[in-house]
Parts: sequence; structure tokens; C-alpha cells
Amino acid sequence: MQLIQDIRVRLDAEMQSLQAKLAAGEKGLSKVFEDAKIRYQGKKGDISGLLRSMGTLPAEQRPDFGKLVNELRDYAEGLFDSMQQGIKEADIAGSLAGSTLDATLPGYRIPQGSLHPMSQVREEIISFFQGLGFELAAGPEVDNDWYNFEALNIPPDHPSRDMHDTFYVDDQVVLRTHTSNVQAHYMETHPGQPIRIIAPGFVYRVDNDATHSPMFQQVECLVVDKDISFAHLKGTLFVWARHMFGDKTTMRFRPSYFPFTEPSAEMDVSCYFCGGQGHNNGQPCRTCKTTGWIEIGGCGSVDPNVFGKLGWDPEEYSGFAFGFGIDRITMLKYGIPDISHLTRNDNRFLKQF
Amino acid sequence: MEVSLNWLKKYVDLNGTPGDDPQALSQALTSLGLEVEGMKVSGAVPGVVSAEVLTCARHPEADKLSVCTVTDGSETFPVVCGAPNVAAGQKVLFAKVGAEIPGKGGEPGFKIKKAKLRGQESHGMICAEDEVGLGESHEGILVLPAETPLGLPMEKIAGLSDVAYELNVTPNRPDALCHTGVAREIAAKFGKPLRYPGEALKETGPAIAGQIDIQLEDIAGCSKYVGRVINGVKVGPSPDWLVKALKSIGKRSINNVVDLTNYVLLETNQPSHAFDLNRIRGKQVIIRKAKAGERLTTLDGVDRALTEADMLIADAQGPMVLAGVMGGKDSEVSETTTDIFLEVAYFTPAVVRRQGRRHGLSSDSSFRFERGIDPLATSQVADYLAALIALWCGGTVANGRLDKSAPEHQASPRIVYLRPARAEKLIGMALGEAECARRLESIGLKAGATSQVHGQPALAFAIPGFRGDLEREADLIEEIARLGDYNTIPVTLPTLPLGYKALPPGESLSRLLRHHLKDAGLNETLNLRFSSRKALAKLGLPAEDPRSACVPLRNPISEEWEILPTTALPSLLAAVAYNQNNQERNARFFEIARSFYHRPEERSARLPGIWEEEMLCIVLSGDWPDRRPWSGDTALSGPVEFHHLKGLVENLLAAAGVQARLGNPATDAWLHPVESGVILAEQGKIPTGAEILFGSKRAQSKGEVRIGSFGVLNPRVQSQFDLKGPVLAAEISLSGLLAAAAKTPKFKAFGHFSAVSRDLNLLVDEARSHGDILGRMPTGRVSILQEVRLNSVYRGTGVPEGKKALHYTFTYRHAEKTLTDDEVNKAQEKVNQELAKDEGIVFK
Ligand SMILES: [Zn+2]
Repeated sequence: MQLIQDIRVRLDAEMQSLQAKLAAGEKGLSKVFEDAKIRYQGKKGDISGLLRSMGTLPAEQRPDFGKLVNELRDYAEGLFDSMQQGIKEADIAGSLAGSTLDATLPGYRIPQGSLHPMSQVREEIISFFQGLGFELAAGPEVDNDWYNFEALNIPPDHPSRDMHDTFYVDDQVVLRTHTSNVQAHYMETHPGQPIRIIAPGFVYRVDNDATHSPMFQQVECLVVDKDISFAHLKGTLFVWARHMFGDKTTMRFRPSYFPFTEPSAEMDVSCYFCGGQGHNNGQPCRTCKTTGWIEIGGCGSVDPNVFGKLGWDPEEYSGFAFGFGIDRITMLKYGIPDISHLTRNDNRFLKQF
Repeated sequence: MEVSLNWLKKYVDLNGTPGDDPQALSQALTSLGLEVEGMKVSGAVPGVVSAEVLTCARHPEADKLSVCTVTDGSETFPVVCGAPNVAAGQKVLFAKVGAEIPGKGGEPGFKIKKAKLRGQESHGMICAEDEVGLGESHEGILVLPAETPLGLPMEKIAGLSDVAYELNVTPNRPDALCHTGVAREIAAKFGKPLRYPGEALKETGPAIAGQIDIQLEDIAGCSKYVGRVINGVKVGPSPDWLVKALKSIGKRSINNVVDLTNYVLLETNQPSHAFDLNRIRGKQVIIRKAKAGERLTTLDGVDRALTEADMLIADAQGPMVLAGVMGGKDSEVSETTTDIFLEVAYFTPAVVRRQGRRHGLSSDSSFRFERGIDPLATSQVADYLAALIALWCGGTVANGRLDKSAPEHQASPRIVYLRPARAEKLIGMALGEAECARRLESIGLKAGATSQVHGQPALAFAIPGFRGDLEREADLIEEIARLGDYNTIPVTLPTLPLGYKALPPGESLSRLLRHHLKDAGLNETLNLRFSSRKALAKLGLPAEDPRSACVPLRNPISEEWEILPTTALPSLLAAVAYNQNNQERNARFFEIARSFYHRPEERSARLPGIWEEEMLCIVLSGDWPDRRPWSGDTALSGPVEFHHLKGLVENLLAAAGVQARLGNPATDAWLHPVESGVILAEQGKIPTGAEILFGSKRAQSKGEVRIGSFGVLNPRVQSQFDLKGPVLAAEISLSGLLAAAAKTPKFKAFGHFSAVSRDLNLLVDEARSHGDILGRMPTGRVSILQEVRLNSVYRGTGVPEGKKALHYTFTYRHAEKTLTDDEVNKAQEKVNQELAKDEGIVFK
């Protein structure tokens, strides 16, 4: 019986000391705790030893002895259970505090490349017009003079050909000078159907300086139906301009001339760098050269001659078209100062987008 | 084109309108479609005002100086003046203290300060013409008209300062290439009347008949030719007003006769030409085509060979003028000229345009003829100009006007009908008939009778000759919209039926590929679609390769950009070289570029015979991107190699859902003969692009079409492009991918019973390939064999020289039961037996 009492005292002392160490924040106690559990509760532990020794006792002592051992077993179990949570918690806390990981080191990233800024803007424009129910259309970059010029009401010897510095393959074949050739192709192949198309693409002009590239990207938009007006052109451009340049954007239309539209206009939007003020905190705005306006592109109602040339009845149908430079919008959006960056393919440029 | 504000004001009075402010006028011009590209203000020096000389006395100590008092109406200033003509009571230009006087002829200017001149206070300066940029004269101070109010800033003093507007006039608006034309627009904008210039003609000279005769032969090139003669002219310097008017828009004065023809051109848009009558041989003016072998020395001193297409003004003996473009030296008006033959003609626009181009010549006249001048105004302008010459150069206008017309010459205003309802519909706003008519009449159109067009009420408008561009109702509608200001038109979204159009498959695929490759660590490039045969040759393509048959440009910008590319590879490789030279050695690029293949057999009246194919090009150089940059795990980084590119290609094929197989090696000249591969897609129909590029014969085995190649760049090509380190490249046809792209993946049942694996080590010769050994395995015949995985390729300890050890793991699984060891062993035995038939394979 004394033996049972001794074990109990020893257990209490051990656990009290453990508790004290736990309270003092000592680490590595879970091992000590687990060892103690095994020493008392294990198959070869003290409590099992007591039960085994019971056989050596006189039979009349056994029930009492058994009762006391069971009491000790329950007591030990209760004691260990009560300490288990605290030991585990201390252990986790210790392991958390002990981490030496340098979290400021860069993450293991799956290396990412980049999309060309112009193709990002192109996608954004397509998505916007797709949302309005437009169809993406395309046309050849090398085209017959007829589609690039004549079908668009630009006959040979017309002075407006001076506006297009054309690359020629031969007398009949040109590099398209605008995406408007898509109008001609599309109207020819879709007679008498309402049209809503958006057609981005590369175009070519014999021009190469700080602000001009011989190849640049335009986007053409064409809407044809029975009751389309110039007001509708303005409405469509308005929602687009606000999407592209922000909710406060205003626009301005100036009369211009394109042989394939009438009325023809140039569209300007309020400069979004200076909010159309021409100045930023007293500094002259370089983006709009203090005018407060940024030229975006040309537009107008489809000229009846274009309908005629492509076999449509201008009495029945009307429409509008506009075209603007994706290069220019890209340069504005990202603040790219020089057009030659767009095709030089310098990694230091490409990686920025 | 430049216009002068003072000149414009001769025809329209802007007083009391917003247009009186030069800046507001600039905006008005732009809103009318005459875009102002520049504005030059002259004769406006800040700090210089109108003033009156109150007193003027000789300086007590200097003979040549006067001591004056000057008032600007509110203050009085003492001024010492050195001009001989200064006098009390004069209205003068007075530069106050602080005014900055501009320098002359590039010299620096100076600032007016308080000064003492020989003991006399001077608080300002009375200005001479040249000191305030009004002219060359320094004879004395500039005296203003007595009625000039005091204290006006210089730019507000009538007629003193000027503004030159640089206008961008679109080709459809030749009427706006002159001052009356621009004034007409302004007058309409501000609701003011237009004052046309005029000069009474007195035909007091001898009869024109007998002095000259006109023969109009080339009626296709010239539909109207009007001649006038002025006798007894004195050619000399032009009067001041004329010199000043020309100078205001940057034109040089030549002599009074030539200046007047230029003045009238800039005033009315009608070109004219003055001949020395006495140098016209045979008293004959002939409008004809040139004959072969004829030559003409034009005013620019160039001796030109003429062609039979050229239209001339000739005399009895030969060419005098390249019609509508430039005069000849021999018939030019000179100091000795006394009698003038004046030409005012209407030349056919396209004819003038072609001859200008042929001779590389453009003049103020040809520019206007090309765009079309007023066919109705020739005679009237001839009378006006003759009267001006007689007035300012002396002489008398000969009696009579020679007037030759082709039968088809437009002699009366064109009539165009306008349906106001149609205008409202196309513009998108309510206007009313009266407003439509008001706007059109404000620029000189005349409303006439009403009638019906297409069942709608219409108004007839007589179109003035100067608006040759107004031919159709649509042209009138544009004018109505323009004159009302586009910015007043409502902003309305069209109400179209809801609709949705998916992206075309090609766009979806290229978008998918671009995003996939971006996510795989590649940068998208954009190359100009120009190349050269020299750059193409660096790829070492054989002559029969379709990429060798490139399309040259007729007018390239440079030798480097002389053809349309048949492949973007040279441009991409050049971009890699450029980056390597800029310490950017890890260039990993892709681009969906357009290639242009020559297809002469496809050429038709409407088709150019050129096939445009989108090609996905990839180039890799430098190191493969390191996924654990600072981990020190060198196995993860290192130079790009064949299998990086192959993995990239395999992944992108998977991403695109393309059923394709990679075969080795590729035969392309630009690729390494061993370290390369081709992409073979299963497809029924060969897309045109792939067919052009790789031939119509299906590649390799049945049902497979080659759609691209990839691999290590051939070292010869690499050295041609001066590239360092390993460089890999791929070129894949987008239409080929598109034709092979599979549908949505379909679910396949997978077993729930556990898999069992067996390993096998095989020893083979270095030359044997994994693909070859894989091909020997009876994979299709062992139904429970699910996967054969290559674990390692080992060379080194335990493996003899010239051999390699391949370690494979075979995974077996049954869909409906757990496999027994016995079943697996049997299956593996089947594989082993098959492999054992190959004497080159040794089991380890
Ligand atoms: Zn701005």
C-alpha cells in the first residue's frame, strides 16, 4: 500500500515540477511529459507493475489493493489529461517562436512573361465592343487598290490620295493604308444585313520619324442599319471614350474629310492627364500640349458612294464608321514617349507590361 | 495654307462678334473644319500703347533730340525723342517703361527703362515702324491716324498688328484655300455679310483682236481659257499695301504684275498667268498636248523633257508653260515688259495632278487646279485682275476678252436637292426646313423651288461654282451639320437588337496561346512587318522553300525593309541579338506574326495573289527561368535547351487542345539537323497556310499534317545573326493548329482499385532513343498497363562507356478489381519478352 502512495507522491512531485517548468516557459517539455506518461501508464510502467505485482499478494488484500491501484490509474489519467493540452500548446508555441525563416526573401514565383502593351489595349478595345454586340472582323494587310481606295470613294488621281503615303507592291496591289478596307470587304460579303463590326489591324504608310512608324495599328468600327445617324456615332464613341479614358471624359468633334464618310469628323477627348485644363498643378501639360484635348481619330457617317460601290442602297441603309490608332492610345495609356519603343523589342521595355 | 487676319477683315467685319478675339476666331475656324495648326502674331509688343504727344520742344543741349510730354490718356510721361518728324498733337505708338522691344534681324531686344538723356528725364520711347516689328523703316516715328483712341494696347489698334493662321485645309475644300473663301466661312459662323472684292473695269485700250489669238485644242485638259490684254504697263516694285499683304502670309514680292496675280490667287483662289505679250511668237496662244522631243525650261531653271501626255500653253513656235503647273523662262514678265497677256483658265484637276507628279512639281496654282477651282468665275476674275493691273501698274485694258470654252464646261450653277427630313434623320436631330436653308444660304447656296425626291419634300439649291465638292444631298447634309457645329448634335446610343458574336476561332486561339505563353514566362514582341532578302538569306533556306519566294515592295523605305516577310524568324533573331548587345541575355520571345506568301496563281482582278498566314514564332536564349531563384538549387536553372522548348511546345499544344505528335528531327535548314522536331497534327483537311509552307503531300504517316517545327537553331544560322549562347526557335502555323484543335475533352472513367508498379532497368547503346524503345513495348496489347514512365537516363558508374541506363516504371491497374501479384507479373513478363526480342536491349 505504501508503494501506491509513494508512486502517487512521486507522480505529483514530477507533475508539479513540470507545471513549474511549463509556467517558466521552458522548451522541450513534451518529450519529458510523454516519457513520464510511459513511465507511469505504459505497458511496462509503474501502474502496470503494481497490477502485475498483485498476484504476489494474499488473496484477501487483493480487492483493496486493486481498488487503490485503479484509483491511482484514474488519478494519473486525469492528471495527464489535464496537463496534456498545456504541454501541447507550449510545444506549438515553442515551435512557432523558434522559426528562423526569412519571410522577406522573394517568393518562388512561376516566372511570368508579358503581353505587348499594344496587344493588351487591342484586347481591351475588342472586349468593350464585343460587350456592345459587335463582331470582330478582319481583312488583308496586302490588298487590292480597289478595296483600299476605290470602293471607299477614293478614285485614282484624287487629291485625297496625298493623305495616304502608300506602299505599293505593284500598280494594283498596296499595303492597306487604313483598316477601312475591312469595311469594303465586309459590306461586299454581307449584303443587306445589319452590320456591327470592330476590326483592329496593322496598316502601313511610307512614313518613319519620331511620331510615325511605317507600320501601326488601327481599329475600325462600322455600324450599318436602317436608321443610323451621326448622333449614334457620337453616342457610341462617347461610351467608349468614357470606358477608355475615365468617367469624366468629354469629347469634341471637328469637321474633317474622309472620302468614305460624310459628314466626316475628327474626335478629340478631354486630356485625362490634366482633366482638360491644359495645366497640372500650374505646370503646362505635355500630353495635350496645353490644349486640354487629345486627338483620337477620324469618324463619320458612311458615304452614300461607298454604299453604292458595294451594292447597297443608300436610301435604305445608313451607317457610321470610325477609326483610331491603337499605337497612340497605348502610348497615352502607358505614358510611352517614343513610338519606336513599340517595335524595338527591347526586353527592358517588354518586361514592364 | 496661311491666311492673314487683317486680310480676312477686308471681306468680313468681325466687330462686336466673338470672332473679334484672335484666339476665339482660331477656335471658330477649327470648329468649321478649317483646322488651325499654328498662329503667328505680329506687330503686338506688350507694353506699347497708343499715346498723344502733348508738347514737343528742342532739347536744350542736343540739336537732334526733342523733349516731349506724352499722354496715354491717364498719365503723362516725359520723353526724349530723336526722330526728326515728332511733333505736338501727333498720335503715336508709345513704349512704356518695362516694355520689351524685340530685336531686329536676330539681334537681342531691349527693355525700356527710366533714363536721363543729357540731363533730361525720359520715361518711355516713341516708336518707329521697325522697332515694333511693323516694317523696315527707321526714317522716323510711326504716326497713327488722328482718330486713334488713347491708351489702346498695340494689338487692339486697327490695322496695326496681324495674326497669320496656318490652316490645314482638307482636299475637299479648295474654296477655303483663299482669303475670301475663309472669310465666307467666318461670316457664316458669326452671321455677318461677306464683302466681295471688286474693281471697276475700264476697257480703254485698243481692241484685243489682232493682238493675240487663242486656240483651245486640248479640251480634255482645259475646258475654259480666258485671255485679257493690258497695254502700256510699267513693271516695277509693288505698292506698299500689296507688299504688306503678301508678306503677312510669308510671300515674297517679285514685281507689281506678278504680285497682283499672286494676290488675286490668294484672294479668290483663281490662278492666273501673266505673259509678256511681245514674247508670244506668232501672236498665238495654243493649249495643246506636247509633242515628242519638245523641251521647256521652267521658271525654276530646270530644262524639262516633255512627254506627249503633258498639256502645254504654247505659242506658234513652241512650249511656253507647263499648263497649270509652272511657267517658262522665256515668256516671263520682266522689267522691260510693256504689254501683258493675261491667262485665266480652268484646267482639268486630274490632268494637272498627273503632270505635276510626272515632273515632280507643285505650285500654288497646280495645288488649286488639282483640287478644283470655281469653273464659273474665270471671266469675272480675268476682268477684276485686268482692272487691278491697270490701276496699280499703269496701262490700259484692251477692249474685249477672249473666252474659249469646251462644250462640256460647266457654265451654270449645279442644282442639288435636299430633303430636310432626310437631313434630320441622318444627323439625328430636329432642324426644320428653314434652319437647313438658312445654314446653306449662309455659305452662298441659293434655295429654289420645292419638289419631291423619293416621295419626300425636297428643296432645290443652286450650288455656287466655288463649291464644286457639293454634288449630292449627302454633301449638303454635311454642310448643315458642320455649320451648326458638330458639338450641338445629340449624343445618342443606337437602339439595335441585342446580339452576341463570339470571337472568331482564330482570335480565340491566338488569345489563348498568347496568354499561355505569357504565363510560361515568355515576352510578346512586335516586329515591323518588313524584311529584306539579305536577312532572309541568313536562314539558309533552299530556293524551293516557299519562304524564299518573297513579295518585294515597289517603294520601300530602306534596303532593310524592302520585302514583306515570309517568316518573322529573322526579325525575332535580330531582336535577340539586339538584346544580347544590351546585356539582356535572357531573351525569351514569342510573337504571332503575319507571313506573306507569294501565290501568283491566286491573283485576280480583286485578289492580290498573296497569302497572309498567322505564324506563332518562338525564340529562346540565355537561361531558362529559374523557379526558385535564391534557393541555390542549380539543377533548376541553366541555359535553355532542346527539351525546354519541346516541353513548351507540348504544353501549348495541350493548352490549345490540339491532337498532335512530335516527330524527330525537323528537316528545316534553319534548325539543328538532330536537335529539332516537327509537329504532326491529325487532321482531315490541310489548311492553305500549312499546305503552302510544308507542301501538299501529307507528312510522314497517314492522316498527319506537319504544322510546325522547333529546335535548336542551326549553328550556321546562329553565327549569321551574331547570336551568343544557345538559341532555340519554333515556327508554328496558326491555321494548322486551328484545323487540328480538338473539341471539349470528354470524361474517362478511372479505376478505384489500387495500382501496382514494376520497375525495369535497361542498358542500351547511346544511339538508341527513348522513343524507339518505347515503340518496342506492347503497350496496346497489355490492357492493364496504364502508364510507362521514364524515371532516369543514367550514365556513369556501373554503366559501360558508350551505353546508357534507362530506368522505367510500369503502372498496372484494373478498373474492377485489385490485381494479384501473379497477374501483374504475367503482364510485366509479356513486356519483358517483347523487349528481349531486341538484341540491343540488356536487362540489368
Ligand atoms: Zn493635358
